[in-house]
Amino acid sequence: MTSDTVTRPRRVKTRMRPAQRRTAVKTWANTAAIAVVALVFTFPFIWMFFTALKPEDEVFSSSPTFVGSEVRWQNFSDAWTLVPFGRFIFNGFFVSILGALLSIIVAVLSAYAFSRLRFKFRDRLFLLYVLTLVLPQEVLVVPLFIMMNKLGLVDTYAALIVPFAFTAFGTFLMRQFFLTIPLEYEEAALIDGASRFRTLWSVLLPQLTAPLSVLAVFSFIGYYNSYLWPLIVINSQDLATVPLGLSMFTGERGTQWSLMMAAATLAVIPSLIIVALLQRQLIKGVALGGFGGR
Amino acid sequence: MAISTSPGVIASSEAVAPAADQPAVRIPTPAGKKKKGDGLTALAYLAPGFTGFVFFIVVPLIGSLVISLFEWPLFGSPTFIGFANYEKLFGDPTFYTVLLNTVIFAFVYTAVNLALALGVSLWLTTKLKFSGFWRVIFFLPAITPMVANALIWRLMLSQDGLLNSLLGTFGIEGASWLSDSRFALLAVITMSVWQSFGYNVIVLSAGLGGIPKEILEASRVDGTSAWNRLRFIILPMISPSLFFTMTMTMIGAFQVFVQPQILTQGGPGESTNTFVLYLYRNGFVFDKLGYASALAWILFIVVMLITALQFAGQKKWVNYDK
Amino acid sequence: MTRNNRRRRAATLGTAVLMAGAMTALAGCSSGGSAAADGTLSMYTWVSSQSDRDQWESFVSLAQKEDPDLKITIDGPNFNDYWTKVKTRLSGSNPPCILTTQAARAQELEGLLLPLDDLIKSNDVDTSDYDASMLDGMTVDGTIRAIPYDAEPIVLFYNADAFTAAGLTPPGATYTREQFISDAKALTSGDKKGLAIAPGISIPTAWATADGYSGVDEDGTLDLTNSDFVDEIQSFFDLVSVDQVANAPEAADSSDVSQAAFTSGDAAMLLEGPWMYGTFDEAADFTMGVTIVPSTSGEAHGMTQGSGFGIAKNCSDPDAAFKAILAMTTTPVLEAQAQSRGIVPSRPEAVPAWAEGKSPEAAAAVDALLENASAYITTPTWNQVETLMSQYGVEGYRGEKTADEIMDTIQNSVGE
Repeated sequence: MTSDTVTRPRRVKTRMRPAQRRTAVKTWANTAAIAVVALVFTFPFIWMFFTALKPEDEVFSSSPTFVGSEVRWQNFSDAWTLVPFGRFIFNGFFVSILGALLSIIVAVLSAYAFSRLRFKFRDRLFLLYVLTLVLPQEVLVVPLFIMMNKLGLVDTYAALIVPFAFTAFGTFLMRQFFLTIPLEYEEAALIDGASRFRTLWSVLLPQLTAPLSVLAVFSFIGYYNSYLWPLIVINSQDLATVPLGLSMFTGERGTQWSLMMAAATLAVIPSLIIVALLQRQLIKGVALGGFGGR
Repeated sequence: MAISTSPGVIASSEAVAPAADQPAVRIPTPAGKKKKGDGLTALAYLAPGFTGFVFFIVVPLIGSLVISLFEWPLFGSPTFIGFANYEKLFGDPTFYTVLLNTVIFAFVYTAVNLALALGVSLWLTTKLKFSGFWRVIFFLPAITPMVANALIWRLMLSQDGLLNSLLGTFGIEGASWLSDSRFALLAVITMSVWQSFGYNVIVLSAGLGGIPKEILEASRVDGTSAWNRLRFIILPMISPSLFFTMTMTMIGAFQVFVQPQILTQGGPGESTNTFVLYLYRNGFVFDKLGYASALAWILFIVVMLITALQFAGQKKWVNYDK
Repeated sequence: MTRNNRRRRAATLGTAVLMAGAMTALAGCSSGGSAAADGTLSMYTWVSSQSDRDQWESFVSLAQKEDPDLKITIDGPNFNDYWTKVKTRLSGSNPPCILTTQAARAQELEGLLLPLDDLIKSNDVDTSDYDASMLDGMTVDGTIRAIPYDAEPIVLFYNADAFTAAGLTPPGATYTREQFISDAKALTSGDKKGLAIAPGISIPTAWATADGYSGVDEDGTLDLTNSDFVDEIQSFFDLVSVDQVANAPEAADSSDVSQAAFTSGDAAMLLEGPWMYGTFDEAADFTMGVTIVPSTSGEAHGMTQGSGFGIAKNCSDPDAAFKAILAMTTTPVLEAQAQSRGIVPSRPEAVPAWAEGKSPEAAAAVDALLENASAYITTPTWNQVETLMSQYGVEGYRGEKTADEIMDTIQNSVGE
């Protein structure tokens, strides 16, 4: 079809309009097709939400419908009060924000050293960092747990936040970006008598807001969704993060599927908000770093 | 062994961040005039990160090896037992089952994941309205808590769940997807692919976006078939992205834990028990931290081996020059 | 380099060192004592729900009627996590003094629980005041590790209306396997099943105990592969795979899947602990009956499950802890708990309090079971046995593997 227009340029003008229309129709048809696929794809979430609104005895039905005999919004408030869900969400945000902050500070400082300073063993040390990128975190949970236990940190926020703020990924990502920034700016600043820290803070970082926000968002999500480590290191409900709280809920309310789905919906909502607000950073982050999937 | 993979890792580091045009070889410093290094300053900047790195990564990694030589209960004092944990491990039939399950999971999951991700990201390059929006949609499950995602799948796949009642309306009697050893691992894989292929859609979309339009246009003019275009132009051009997604997806696959834990508890039998689930249970449910550490080290070695193999294989098909 | 610069550099270095220091400081405040200075004791137990918390708090408040100075704080994870978390809790900072344990798990917590025999002697406690099978269950290595507060034989709950509707006579205080299976078949039609089954090994063990068999030998070692026990488990699997009177449980189901099947009327019978009586009675809109676990002979042989209070080995003031435990297990306290929370008390003299407000048949069944009862005896590796049974049992119920194969696998995996 495109070759038509190319090989017979003279007739372009007259044939353009139907062709254009055809293209438009095709585009819309294509869009409709992907919309259907997307709908099927997101169906589990849709079903989750509608199940959350059903009376318990209608969750399993041989002729399933979206809306049950009544719409029970109170399932949400029941789920919220049966377990301290507000507490879980607070813990989730508290841990994730502090964790993301710590990760960023560590990454920026280390990346600065690795990209701007000369010191012995720099490249070898960096290689060591890079090697740990492929290390599955699960290999470390037993010794980390024993360490936390010996330090008396089991069942504390510190145990949730600190051990995973030092992964090489942040340092690696920030270093890659530091390397893209020409040295001239900093040299000028350094010659003017600014300290290194000042140069880093007011010359380098302002140019790196995009990667910084990417790192922040991904650290946040990593902490927020983390499950295995909190499962191991947290004993009390008061310190549970959202996934752990949700699993506690399932332990106690194994059959109350409508309440469980209400709780799951509540757990999913903050993530949906994050996607809605920060989709650009997310896409960029995945495209550049691609690490969040781990 | 870890050291032998090093050149490969560096090679991938370019794939990791295509935006970094500067190769990571020589790093000029602003204080280039000085002869001395910046040792002390570097120490200051590195101290927080490096302390943490040593304390939370290097020490535990070595610690894991040490712990694996002990019988180490959660409460009480450990006893040194040499390599007994490893001996026990190699005589433990569940270990082999779990290893096999995880390897099957990893390969099938990675293959399906990449195929789907490639398909969808190619689709997203066609003429579409709101293509950015669709890309975000496919990405959704990847950032919602996996525990919540797994729960809804458990509900849908349970014996009298949605899937079976839908099949029922067509007169088909559905299987017990989560209790039948023929289907349980498949169910876990399906849920996992749904959960996370959106990540790879985005990575591959970025790779596809990097292909110059002119090249594709030109090939269209040549009358190259769509298949050949994919095979000889698109795939080679996005091979670094493909390689990267493949490696990372594979590493991620070996860490599978939540899905079997929530969907099947590793059952029926051991048919969906995975390495990390077995590791977690041995350490924190069965009170055998030493044995769990031995498992952890085997996991470490397996992942390193597979990653090394992937890096060794990349020379055959990954094309870094654009 | 200017002085200014050097100072700044020093400052950066300082900050870095400070950060590293802060981390170690966070870690520093770890060691702690066991009992607080003002005599407040801490108790670590399972707190799965508000209802659990209420139960523990009522133990404390009832005990305070006798000892007004008693102060106990309560903390803990949910029931499933408790058995591993308790070990880390004790090895962490500020460990608790009082622990709870099921008799079934006393073996597993052996390393944590202080032998109480000396305290029992010095406080003149008469052990014959307690249910013998429960004390037996709480005994590890010849020493008593916890004072039980309840002794609850697993019973068979049934839907009396369903029996009547099917033209059957509801069972009395004897119940043979033969009769049970024929009843269950008569009660099964379409979606309705005769019985509901939860994953796990405790109910199959109660089934075996009814005929006098156990998966643990006299020395307390795991013996799942003895042919009597295997036959019992097989006959339990057969209820699903051969007789088809129940649905196979899914591995990830928790016990309330089967409970809901019973209370909603989808299954006519359920093997459960009598502690569920109140909950079931409230949830079910049919007449509920209670009878013994069916045995080949039809005679009752109960498997008691129950829990009690023990003292952590590293408790700094075991005497105070023991006095608190005694205060929480007096007859009046247990009677009050039996009435308000429906536990079957570990002191026989308090059992009548449980029967109040319940059907006479239920009371008769519980009495019959308690009269000839064995404790649910386990091994230190029971958590693993339980997990494996949840995984493998599914295949047994579905008839894909025999009890022989499954018990063999579990026995070998646990490796004793």
